[in-house]
Amino acid sequence: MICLEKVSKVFTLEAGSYTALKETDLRIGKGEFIAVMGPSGSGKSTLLQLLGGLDLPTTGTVEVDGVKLNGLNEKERTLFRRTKIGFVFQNYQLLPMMTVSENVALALAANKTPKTEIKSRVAELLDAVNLADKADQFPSRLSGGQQQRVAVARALAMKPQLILADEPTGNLDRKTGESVLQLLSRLNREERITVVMVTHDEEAAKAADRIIRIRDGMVVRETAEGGERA
Amino acid sequence: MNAWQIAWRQLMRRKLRTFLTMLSIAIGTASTLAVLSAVDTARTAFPLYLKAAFGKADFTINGTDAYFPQAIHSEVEKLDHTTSIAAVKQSTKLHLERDGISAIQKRVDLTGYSKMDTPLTNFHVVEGNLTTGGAVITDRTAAVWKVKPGDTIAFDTDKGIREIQVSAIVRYTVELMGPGNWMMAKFHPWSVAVPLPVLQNWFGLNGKIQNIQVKVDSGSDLQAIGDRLDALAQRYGTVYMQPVVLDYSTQFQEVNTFFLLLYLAGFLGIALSAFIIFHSLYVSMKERKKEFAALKTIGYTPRQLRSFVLIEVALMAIIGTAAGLIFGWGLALLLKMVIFMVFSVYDNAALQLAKGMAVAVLAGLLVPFAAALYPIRQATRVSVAEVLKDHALSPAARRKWPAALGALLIVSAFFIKHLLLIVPFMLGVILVFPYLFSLFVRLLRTIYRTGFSGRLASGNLSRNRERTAMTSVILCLGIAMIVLMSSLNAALIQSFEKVIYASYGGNLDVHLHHIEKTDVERIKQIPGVADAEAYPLHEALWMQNGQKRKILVYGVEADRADKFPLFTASGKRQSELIGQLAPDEIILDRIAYGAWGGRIGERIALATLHGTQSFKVAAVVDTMKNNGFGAFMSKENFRDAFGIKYEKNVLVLKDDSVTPMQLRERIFDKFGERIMDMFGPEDWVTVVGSTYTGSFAVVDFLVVLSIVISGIGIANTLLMNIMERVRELGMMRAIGVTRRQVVRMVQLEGLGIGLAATVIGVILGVILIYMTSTFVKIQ
Repeated sequence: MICLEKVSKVFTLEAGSYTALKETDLRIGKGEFIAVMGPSGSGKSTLLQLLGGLDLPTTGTVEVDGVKLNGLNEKERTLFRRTKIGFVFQNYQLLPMMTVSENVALALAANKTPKTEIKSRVAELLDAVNLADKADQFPSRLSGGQQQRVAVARALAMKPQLILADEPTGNLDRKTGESVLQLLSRLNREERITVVMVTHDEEAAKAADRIIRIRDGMVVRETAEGGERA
Repeated sequence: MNAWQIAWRQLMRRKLRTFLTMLSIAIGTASTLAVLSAVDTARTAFPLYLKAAFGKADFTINGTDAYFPQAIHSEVEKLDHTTSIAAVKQSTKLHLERDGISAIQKRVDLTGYSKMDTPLTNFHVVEGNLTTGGAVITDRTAAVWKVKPGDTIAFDTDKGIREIQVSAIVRYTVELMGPGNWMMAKFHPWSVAVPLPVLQNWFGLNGKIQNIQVKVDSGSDLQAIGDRLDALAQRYGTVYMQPVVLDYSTQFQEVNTFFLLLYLAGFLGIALSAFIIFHSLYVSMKERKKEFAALKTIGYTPRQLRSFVLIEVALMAIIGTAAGLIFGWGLALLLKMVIFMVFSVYDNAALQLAKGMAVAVLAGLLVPFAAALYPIRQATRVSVAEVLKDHALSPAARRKWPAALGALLIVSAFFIKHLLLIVPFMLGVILVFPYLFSLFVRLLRTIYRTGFSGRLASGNLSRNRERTAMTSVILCLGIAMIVLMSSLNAALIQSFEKVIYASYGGNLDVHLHHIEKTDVERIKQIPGVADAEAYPLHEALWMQNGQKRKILVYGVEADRADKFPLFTASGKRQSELIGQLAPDEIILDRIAYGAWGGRIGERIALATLHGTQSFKVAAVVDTMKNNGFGAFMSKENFRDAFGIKYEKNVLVLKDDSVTPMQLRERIFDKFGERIMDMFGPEDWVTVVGSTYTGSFAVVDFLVVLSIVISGIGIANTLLMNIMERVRELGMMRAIGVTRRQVVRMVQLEGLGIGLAATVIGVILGVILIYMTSTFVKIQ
């Protein structure tokens, strides 16, 4: 599903250049639930952005679902992302001027999906995240957990094969965070959606099949659920 | 998902900003509509007004002496397909016993018409009847005199008091021009029309007339009738015929410059509103970076992101333009009224809205889209990685080309000898302004560093330099324009004043009905009069590009020309220039010379008593006598050419013992009703000054509107600065910064923006004054 070969990413900052990822190799199979952990600035989020085609590596190749993202231009990567990848963020990133259903429908609308199909798909997704009664509410009227569930529903709209979640429980209390993790696990199990989740939270990481630990831009350890693997 | 509904919700999230942005679009649209419509209306109405006011007759017949026999009119009346009237004009005094009204305020110009109810007089009756043989006055005069039809008015003539009943009150007209109140009557006489036999009887002029006006029936051969009138005049020898020529460019010389200034002010309005829209959207895009980043992660293409923002722009543009059109319509009416008032055009012309409306709608809709292009481009280029994880990537290096281009535009403006230089100059200023602003903030820091709030404010101004500079430049341009306009106004009036005094020929020009041999001597004997000199004047016709035009020709006595200068010339004295003229030579003033288009040494053809005669243009001089557009020849040559044996004007020099007003009163006491008009250089300065001040007031009004727009920009920026720094401000409060200190900091930021705009604006205004001073002067 995902294959990174000798991927490096260098950022140019005011104070000089900064290497976020160094010669990283990584393979993730279809239907895996992966947690990426590491201290701040270790390169976790950079890894997620490279997987999502939001950024390109300085060197090395990134392949997702058989497609080399390095070979795609900005527009091709956008269209790839739209159909293959769903994003979930720590701050939910819902659009405040849109209702819950409009937020969920965003990707479908961008893809020019017929209105009737959008309507039924949105209803189905909101049902799946238990927010059917909030369809016409604006995000500001929802709790953090509810907003994150809307974000998950939005990420699922185009039936992606990969969900990239950046600290999805970072802004939630433990109980709400658990419910979001359960939702992601369920999707992973039932829909065979590959999930790559960046987190600081060891408890949250337990939901994953595999934990990848990164430090200073390099993968230092990979552990299976509860035990070291390599 | 309704994209328009979502765009509206987005706009409503920032109600005040949206309102201010829409307001700026509305003001820009309104100023465009108002300027274009009012100027269009004036351009259409002025020539029509001129035609209606001065072009009722097709031909006039005047005498080579002051009067000629009425029998000639009887001959003219026999011509088929024509309407004609004979007229005599006399000055008199209103017989009125009322305290506080001096003799000079009672001056009345009486015109005797052979017929009142004709297309040539074209009186529009408000009350009464034109055919009952009484006097006719305007509604304005009737209101001041408090008379109505049937009332009797009386005049003091040489032969005693003469009374006549008012038979009609008519709408204010050029034929019966007069003051609007007793105060103004000190400067202008009243006008009354009476039947010709009445006037002839009162003044002992039976069988004598001064002027015949002839109108040719529509569809008749104008040329043929002109030829017959000319033949008739030549047969008598004592009269000459002239076709009536409407010379728009002479009558409204300064109107085009004024209109250009109005266009510039209107352009400034729409340009500044474009700036506000640009600025609002630019900040909005920055503010919504995360939203755009989120949309990008979902799979929105740059094109889809653009359409998101464009719908918001379209909404603001449509609403702003609609409001602007309503506001602009009212403003156009107001502007039209002021323009007409400034140029003394009494016409109720309908507003010409079509072109103004079309351009204003296009500007109102397209300018916001054009202004939105760059901010939208920024929105589509949002880096998701940077925005979502707050990576502080190195900022893009400041591009050098805008500053270089700006400097180039400013320098290029120095070489443009036209008011349009303002356009490249201002565009250049916009591009280099961030650098000027930085420089100013550095200076400001030395003042602000004394207090805690000041230090923070100057830091914030530097930190948000691009944004604050962008706001400040709007106000700066408005201020620069105001400085330029005020200076242009003052400079033009001063220059006019200088030339008027230098070329008026004395302290007073007394226009008598006709001058008797002893009159000049009598004037000289009046206490306070230092000297006096009579001069002849004739409105001659000449051809330009197949069009008949008029030029005032002055007969000048060479020996007296230095003492009574009717023009100024560099290098040579007036007496020298006039004295050296050959019989077929003439001097043109600079305005006439420019309109003629020839060169010194070439010949200009004028209609004279002997037919069309060509004169070699010997020199070019400057004059503001009768608004310029004049020609000068020696008195002797003048008489030979035009056959006019009488003089009507006396130039008077006063000594230091009298004021200009006392001089007038003393001359009036001596000559009374024989005086047709008295006009001094100070009157002329007042007329020119009020025309220009009125014109500039209109332009200033539009510039002030632009400044209002810039105020909107400042409010917008401060609002954005605060909203963006809510956390920062909260943190400051948490560590003990008082509420007052925070408020003071924001106030000082606003003050900094305003100060930068004012100081730089004034400096730029002064530079503009210097640039325009190289060509804006009286030519």
